Amino acid sequence: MKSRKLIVLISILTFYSGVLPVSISAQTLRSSYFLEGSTYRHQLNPAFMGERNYISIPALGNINLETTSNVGLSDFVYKYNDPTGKYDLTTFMSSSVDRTEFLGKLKTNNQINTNIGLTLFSTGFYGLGGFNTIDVGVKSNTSFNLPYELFNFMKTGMDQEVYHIKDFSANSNNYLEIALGHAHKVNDNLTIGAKLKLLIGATNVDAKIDQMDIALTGDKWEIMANGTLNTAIAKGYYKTKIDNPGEISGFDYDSPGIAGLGGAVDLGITYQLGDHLTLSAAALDLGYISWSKNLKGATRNNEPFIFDGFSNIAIDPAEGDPNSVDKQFDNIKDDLEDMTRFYDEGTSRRSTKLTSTVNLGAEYKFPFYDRLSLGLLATTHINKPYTWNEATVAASISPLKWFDATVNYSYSDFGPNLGWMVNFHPKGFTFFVGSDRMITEVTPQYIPVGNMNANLCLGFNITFGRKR
Amino acid sequence: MTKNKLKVILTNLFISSFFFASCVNQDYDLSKNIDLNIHVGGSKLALPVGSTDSIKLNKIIKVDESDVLHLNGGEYSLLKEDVVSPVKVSVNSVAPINVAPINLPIITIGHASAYSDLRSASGNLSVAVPLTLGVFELNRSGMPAELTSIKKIGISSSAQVKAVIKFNLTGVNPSADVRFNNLVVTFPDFIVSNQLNVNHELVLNDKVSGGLTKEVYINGFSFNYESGGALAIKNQLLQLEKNVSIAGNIVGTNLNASVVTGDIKLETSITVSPVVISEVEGMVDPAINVKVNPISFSIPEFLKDEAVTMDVENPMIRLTVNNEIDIPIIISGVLRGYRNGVALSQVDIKGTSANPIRIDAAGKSVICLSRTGQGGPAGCKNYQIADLNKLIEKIPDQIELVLNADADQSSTHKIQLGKDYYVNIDYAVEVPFKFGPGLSIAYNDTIDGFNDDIKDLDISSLNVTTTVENNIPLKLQMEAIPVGIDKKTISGLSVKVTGEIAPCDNNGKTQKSPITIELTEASDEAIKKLDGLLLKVTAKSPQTVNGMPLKESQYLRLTNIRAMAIGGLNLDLNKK
Repeated sequence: MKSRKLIVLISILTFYSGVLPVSISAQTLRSSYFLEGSTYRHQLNPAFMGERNYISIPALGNINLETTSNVGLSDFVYKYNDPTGKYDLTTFMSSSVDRTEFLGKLKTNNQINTNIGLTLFSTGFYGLGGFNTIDVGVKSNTSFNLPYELFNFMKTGMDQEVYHIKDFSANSNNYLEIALGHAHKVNDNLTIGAKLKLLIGATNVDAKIDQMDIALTGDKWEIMANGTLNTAIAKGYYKTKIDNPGEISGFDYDSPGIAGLGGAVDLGITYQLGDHLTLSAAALDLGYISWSKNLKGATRNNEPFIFDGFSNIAIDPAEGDPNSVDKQFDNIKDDLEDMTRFYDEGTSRRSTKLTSTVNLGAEYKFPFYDRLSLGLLATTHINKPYTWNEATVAASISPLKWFDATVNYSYSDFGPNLGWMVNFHPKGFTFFVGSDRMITEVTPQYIPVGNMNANLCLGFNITFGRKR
Repeated sequence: MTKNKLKVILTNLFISSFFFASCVNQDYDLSKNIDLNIHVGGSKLALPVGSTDSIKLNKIIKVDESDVLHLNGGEYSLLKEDVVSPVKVSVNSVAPINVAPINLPIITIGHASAYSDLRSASGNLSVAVPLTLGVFELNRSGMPAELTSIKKIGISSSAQVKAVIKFNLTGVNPSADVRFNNLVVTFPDFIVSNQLNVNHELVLNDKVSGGLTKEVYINGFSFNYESGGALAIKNQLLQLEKNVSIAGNIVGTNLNASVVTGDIKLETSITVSPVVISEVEGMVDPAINVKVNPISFSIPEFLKDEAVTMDVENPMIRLTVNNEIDIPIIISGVLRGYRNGVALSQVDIKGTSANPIRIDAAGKSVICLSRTGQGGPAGCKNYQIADLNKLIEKIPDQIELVLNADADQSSTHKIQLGKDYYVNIDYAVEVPFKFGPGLSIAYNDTIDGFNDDIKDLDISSLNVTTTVENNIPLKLQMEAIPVGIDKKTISGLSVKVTGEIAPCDNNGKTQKSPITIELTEASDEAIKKLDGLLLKVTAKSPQTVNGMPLKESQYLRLTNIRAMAIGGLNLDLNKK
């Protein structure tokens, strides 16, 4: 039953555990980068100024949900031409799935990311010689990394003797962000902007098998693995087992609170080159959070687990004979479980860098119809081992003064994506909805077939003041 | 195209792009069953199984599972012991022998008229008694047929035999002083009496005037002066006549005419009381009828196979005989082996003419009949039955022992007539497990019950390699036949065992042998049907280990066991 669960877990369920909070910093739609009427463009580049003053409807101003992955259901679940006709699908572990085909679909680091960004309150207004913004929002980022070598081991087996599995990890970062921004037009061509952010940490979990070395031969199976577990949560503590002091069995906290404090800055610049071309650049979330009480956990594997066979197997064992196969098998299971046991290593302060993002953009407005533009956006998301890059080409149109829209095509480490956004911004309010990552194919259960890249962002805001 | 048209087209294009987003792929309907057959291991899955504990022989050959398997100082043997019903031996008693009265002829010493001629001047007398003979007859018919010759006859102490010799001297007044002077009464040489000298003579110097009676107690009869040293008994008739004689002198002192009353004569008679024979020494050939019930036992499992051929270095039949008779017994016989009522073998038991199989008289004898004629316990008599192994070459489940027992006729013996003697025989058939080059044990066993563990495994070929440590003095070869739950051979699945297990070396030290077992499917999923292996182990005894004992402490040990599933392993998790 355990193995069945494992397969299902790896093949499907774990893959879709993306409801957990995650690591790429949820900003707002990158599709809005070239839509001048978009309210929250300043979250992508603090040098962007708003069309009007605005204030968000609490908790509804900007809601952004996103999942990304560079692998998908179709990489793990395959169509199956079952001779018995009983099954239509099978898993990647089936002998009917070619190893080269399966492994060829995988990346060195197979990532699954989930991001939630919720703006609790935001306002933007002109003053102080520029455009000012105040944001209060919650960000939650969770990432899993399943290294290629793990699946290579599962699929290739003993056709390869040694495996080095690195960065088998999970990370979750959850915090409240208070940001003060100012964009200032230096001259007709140049605008700069910056944000200062106060970060109030809620929880941070970082679990990692730094390296797992597996060597399998007919003579010996050898496994060495070590990992760390860091958990930052206010008034939190690890629960440990009574029968094995120090072994972590879970964690709990006495009451919610502030687990860490941090700060960050966003920097941005735009430069209009001629009448039709605008260049822009931004570096976001340059900062860190210091977690005041980080619960440290780690494995304690000083020596590798080595199985070179059972010793002195009792052929006709008496009950409880330590040399019986059953007893020795139990011991091996215990030894293997020891490899995965994390122990409470006390507490310490710990700082985590924010996932920083660099956006480089260029927008060209067509001379024959200046409400139509073509934009190029390069985004780099820096967060080892979850770093990813994306290039986007976007066509944007503003046919009406109160409406604009964009479609874009991007290619990233998560594969190709189609994005879009519609933005209604008449006088008095704005409403936008869009997606940077459209799901193009789903199962009848509405689970993406390909890479699980999905995103939805929408928001309602009140605008006021004259249009700039 | 006007600006407005372009605006409308582009706007519609943007908006419609929203709707071509998701489409449903029915091929990935997760509500349907997903096949959970998984393949692990790649093109091979090798498992280091390890090593076993020492598999001692006492785990394989269990003495408590057989009524004949036996351990002697840790060494294995087959042992069947039992007791033969006591053999009664007796020679009937005979009626007393009545010896006819013996009257010697009357000897005239002198006539009264001539008396003065005999007497000396002083009145003394000295006259010779001439040699006078009588006949002592031993005559008894109806002697036991078992007696062919008698060397001695013993007489019961409770029924003393005495010869009463009476002398009567007539013609002389009893008051006269007349006596024997060295009168010698010579008895037959077969008379044994403490009162006689070595020449069987009784010498008398007693006064005879007035009569003289002498009693001679006969202790027995000894016929060693007869031809052959014994008295032959023919037709159950004991018959012997020999002379009794007297001779010597008679002397008188101060005799005068008044004491002579007539002719002086000496009358001699001998009467012998009836002779009750208690014991006979001689050639005795009593009937000794030994009846041994068939020796039945259950053959140990590992020796049951028809292909088993035993070559035991020194099988032994040990007879412990308590012989009450003072007669050595010569035995011979036949051993016959049967299995399921069918005769398998026959071996003659006999000694040589120079060295017959001989049970000592009047005592305990341990007779060891063995293939080499050696190796019995201290004090036993070893006899070689060179072809004794034939009896067990195919292990019988019943052995018939026909024993012929005869009194040793090469010398004389004593036996009490009318007494019941018993010969008590314990036997032991012992087959020490020390083998010769002809040994071939085919041992079949089944290890089974693993279908539950492997029925969900999809393996097309499985190789198991191991190094076998063996300090058993047997070379082992193994065959394996795959069987299913129904215990029938699985077609489409072959098991090949490569290599043989070398015996210990000639010093009894462990030797190592590599063994490979390959299970290969010829038809799909044949291994899934596997429930067990019917093992056929053939054990041989190479020359280097001939004669080394099989001990319970000897062992096999499998080391460096590795299992490799060629083609990897398919696991069907759908059934879990």
